[in-house]
Amino acid sequence: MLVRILGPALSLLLSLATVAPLPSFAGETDESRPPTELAAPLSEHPVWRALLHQSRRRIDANTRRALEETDFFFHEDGARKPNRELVAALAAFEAADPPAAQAARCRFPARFAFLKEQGRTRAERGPCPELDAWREIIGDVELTLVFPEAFLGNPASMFGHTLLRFDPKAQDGEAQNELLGWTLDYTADAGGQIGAIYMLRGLVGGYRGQFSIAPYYAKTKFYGDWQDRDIWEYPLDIPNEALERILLHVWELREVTLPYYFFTQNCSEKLLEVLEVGGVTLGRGGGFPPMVAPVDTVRALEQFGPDALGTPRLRPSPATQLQEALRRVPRSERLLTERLANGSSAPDDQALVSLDADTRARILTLAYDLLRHRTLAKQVPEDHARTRSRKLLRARSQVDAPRPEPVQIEVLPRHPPTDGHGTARVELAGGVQDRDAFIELRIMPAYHTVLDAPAGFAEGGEIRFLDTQLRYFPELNRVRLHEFTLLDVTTASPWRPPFRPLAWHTEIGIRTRMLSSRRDRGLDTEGVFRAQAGIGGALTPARGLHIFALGELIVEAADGLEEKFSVGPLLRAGLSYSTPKGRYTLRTQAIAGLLTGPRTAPWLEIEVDQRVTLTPQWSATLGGRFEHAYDVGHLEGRLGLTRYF
Amino acid sequence: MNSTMKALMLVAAIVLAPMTAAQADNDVGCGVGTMLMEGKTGLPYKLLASWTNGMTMQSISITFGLINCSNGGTVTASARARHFASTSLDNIARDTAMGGGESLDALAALMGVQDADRAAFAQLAQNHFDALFPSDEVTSDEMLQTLDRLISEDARFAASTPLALAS
Repeated sequence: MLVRILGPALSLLLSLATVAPLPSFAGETDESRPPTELAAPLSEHPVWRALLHQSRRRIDANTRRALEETDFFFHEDGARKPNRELVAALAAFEAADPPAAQAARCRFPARFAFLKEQGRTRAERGPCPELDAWREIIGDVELTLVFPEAFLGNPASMFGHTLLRFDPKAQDGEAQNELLGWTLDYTADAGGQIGAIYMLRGLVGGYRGQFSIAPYYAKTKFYGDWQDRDIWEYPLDIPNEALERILLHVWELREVTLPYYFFTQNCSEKLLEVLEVGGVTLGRGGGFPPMVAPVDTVRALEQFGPDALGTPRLRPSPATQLQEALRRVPRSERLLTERLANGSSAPDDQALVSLDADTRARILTLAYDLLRHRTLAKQVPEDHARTRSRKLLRARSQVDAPRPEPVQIEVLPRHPPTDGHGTARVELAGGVQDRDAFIELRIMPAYHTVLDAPAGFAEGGEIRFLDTQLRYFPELNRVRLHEFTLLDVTTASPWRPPFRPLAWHTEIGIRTRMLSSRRDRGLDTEGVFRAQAGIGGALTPARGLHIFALGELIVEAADGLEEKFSVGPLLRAGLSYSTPKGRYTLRTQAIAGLLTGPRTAPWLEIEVDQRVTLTPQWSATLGGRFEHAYDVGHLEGRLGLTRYF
Repeated sequence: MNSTMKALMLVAAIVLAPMTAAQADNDVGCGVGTMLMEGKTGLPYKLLASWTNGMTMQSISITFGLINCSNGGTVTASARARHFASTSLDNIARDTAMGGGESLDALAALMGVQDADRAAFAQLAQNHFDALFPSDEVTSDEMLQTLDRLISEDARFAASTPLALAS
């Protein structure tokens, strides 16, 4: 028993020791020294710094400033001076007025527990009714990291999401029900407007975020039932002391709201700040600081220890299960399912009654699931659906057939998000644009393009954020900003019966246009501000093959254009193919459109790119492009080497 | 209006249009925003919504203060069962019809049904589908009371904790 407790504690200490040479904490009870000096070494302890959100001085500065406004520190300088805070905390915990001391210990139990562990106080925490009741509800738990996949219906959810789940520990062999676990979530309170506005406002810190706890069934309902998102669940094996400290720290943060920034100070980042209290070596899971994507939290948790992050399990959404189940039944059953779902047949239909019990049970369940999906998607009015739904379930309850096993999704080519490439990248490329050779540096802090290895990312989804391409032309001795994309989002989830998702695209940024020259040589390059958006659909006729077509509208503005701006419709269609393991990807797309101005000019563009994976971090790309716009045409070829982070 | 302004307005219209069209909820951040679901606005509509007794998933603070049925910060077993039933009534109905499932198991756990009796519990529920869901207007509390009565009348569940539903 002792070994079981000491083992994790020892490994935690060892892991602490490997980060940085820690000052010795022994022999600090020399009472002749002034208190501040006394506290200095212990106040540099990584756990203490994490408890004060001091681990990463610059990145956590936002959090600290906000915490300062909420009486989070005992000392007025506590947000900046861990040593003064330590002295002030000790003084508060041991205050002469017992109720005040007790209140301080109950308000900041994690800080108190740490100082107690380190032998710095002999006080006992004593009862804290609210905290104790709260802790009892959560109970003895294990930790699971929950990752709902990207939700392509909403720009704010495209990177996926991370939350923690505290699972009641199995007792006396009784199976624990995951639905009854508690989740810890950090979210922005966005009020009641539309999501695109949220995202833009979230970029500049227009919201406050807050931690919250909710039962897992509320989360599966929200992500799974309503948003059709599959959920990955990573079991976490972390020491009990670490887990307890995390919980106590969560309690300390219960009334705190923090500034929320969509890409930097988001759920992933804040969860890391909390988890750091338990695992001080966490750091970050990739990306370019200060950007954090949800999958980076998962990657960071691998740093808890070699086996800390268990094998992920997939919790498929009802939509995924329905699609998979429908794919497996014969056509005649599918047709009957459709008739029952749309109400043209009733459960007492002869075609159904004549079937054997198992088949009848299966069809009735499928019909209910299909109707439910359509109702949730608002394709069927709820009043019509409700009575029919109940009739289908009632009929199913009267069939004497065993409950079918849940559909095994493992057979699908699914990859957990941690299998994906790094979310940030740097690319070095060389090529020829029109007649000029160039060397290109490309930096893209987030996130994924169709040309990248598809494993771990939403099918048909593409997000480019702050994609910056700088080109140097040696012959002209010029550096140009070739392209700057503020945001480019494409969601082209393929149509698969019974689902027909709408594909859409929106993009805003600066690109280079070649215009007919006023000089005698070649074409002029012109930086053009552009915004483009459209809708369409996508298909996957074969595994790895993805075809899409979109109708779009584009606006371009630049001084070099006649009338300074043009607007026009365009059709964009393309396909991509990835080999089964995603090592190689080929992508091609064509654009045909009109650019209106004083004279309307056709725009034609054909692009072919390919990528091959060299190592998990490195890829090589080769691409060619022909473009004809504003009455001039040019070719471009490019060879690049990409490093993912 | 100069052309730059025109361009900017068009840009705003074009870029925001598909986002708003595809927008389904008040999500913000890298995941769900605070789930404020007062009434039925904004979210994909829930089947059997009126079954949920007007109680929806609300953002629940760290202290569970917003579980409507909580009592002074603590959450009683029956309060948890009621919250679960109201949130997951459609899943429970489906599991009941099928004769078992994860949601029905969770409900059984919250109602204090012993692990060994889960299969019997599922069987009981399935056999009484009509009593538990007599109409499509049934509320989660009505369903729970019926279920509670069925359990108390069945000798197999003598060891189970009575829920003492306050209504």
